Amino acid sequence: MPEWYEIAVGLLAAVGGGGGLLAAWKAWMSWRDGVQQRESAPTERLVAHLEKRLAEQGERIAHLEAAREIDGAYITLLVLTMAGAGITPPPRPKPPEKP
Amino acid sequence: MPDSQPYITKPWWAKLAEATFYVAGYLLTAVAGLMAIIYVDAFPAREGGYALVAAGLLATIGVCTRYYNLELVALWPVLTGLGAIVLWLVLNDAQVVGWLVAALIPHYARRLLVLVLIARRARRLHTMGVQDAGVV
Repeated sequence: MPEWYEIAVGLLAAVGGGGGLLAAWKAWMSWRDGVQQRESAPTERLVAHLEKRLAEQGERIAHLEAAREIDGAYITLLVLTMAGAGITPPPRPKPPEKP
Repeated sequence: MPDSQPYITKPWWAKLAEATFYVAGYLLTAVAGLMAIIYVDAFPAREGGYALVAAGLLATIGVCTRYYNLELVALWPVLTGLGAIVLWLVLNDAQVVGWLVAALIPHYARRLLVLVLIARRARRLHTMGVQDAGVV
């Protein structure tokens, strides 16, 4: 009758060995199918490219936000000027009544 | 998302530091296995030592060449070997050292989990026709 720790080692070996074999088999299949398994120079170049594009997009968004702020300030100024001159905006057209 | 890549690519000093830590970690694992073989030479520490030496060297090669699948395969025997050695240590009443080594196991298991997910995503994206599946 094996000791309990011998059974524990057996279980460990079964899990570890099984997992290792499964991982090795999957790695082999991936290698055979041409799945990229290595962090390579092309990968790093792609990351650099994506980061650059992301920075460009960020810059564009910042410009748009700045433009929107200027627009907001301009409209506020216009409204205040109109109010100062006593000009009120035309009444909104009423929605057509339902029959 | 963190851990979306097997290894750090940028900045260069972080890449170098990470590789150094991994290589040091796996080489020390192999050294620990060697010590178990030489000085303990008893079941199950010796068997665990054999697993640690082989797996530590394989993982070191994986880190150096950045073939993360090698590290992924090696992590299974690393975990098994550590488990066997922990068992021997605790059985022989080396409680502190035993639990210290046991504390390493979840960290290696987490690394295994990360690499399993990265390899799985690479296979899935390859099936979908994405060629450079290491990143996207």
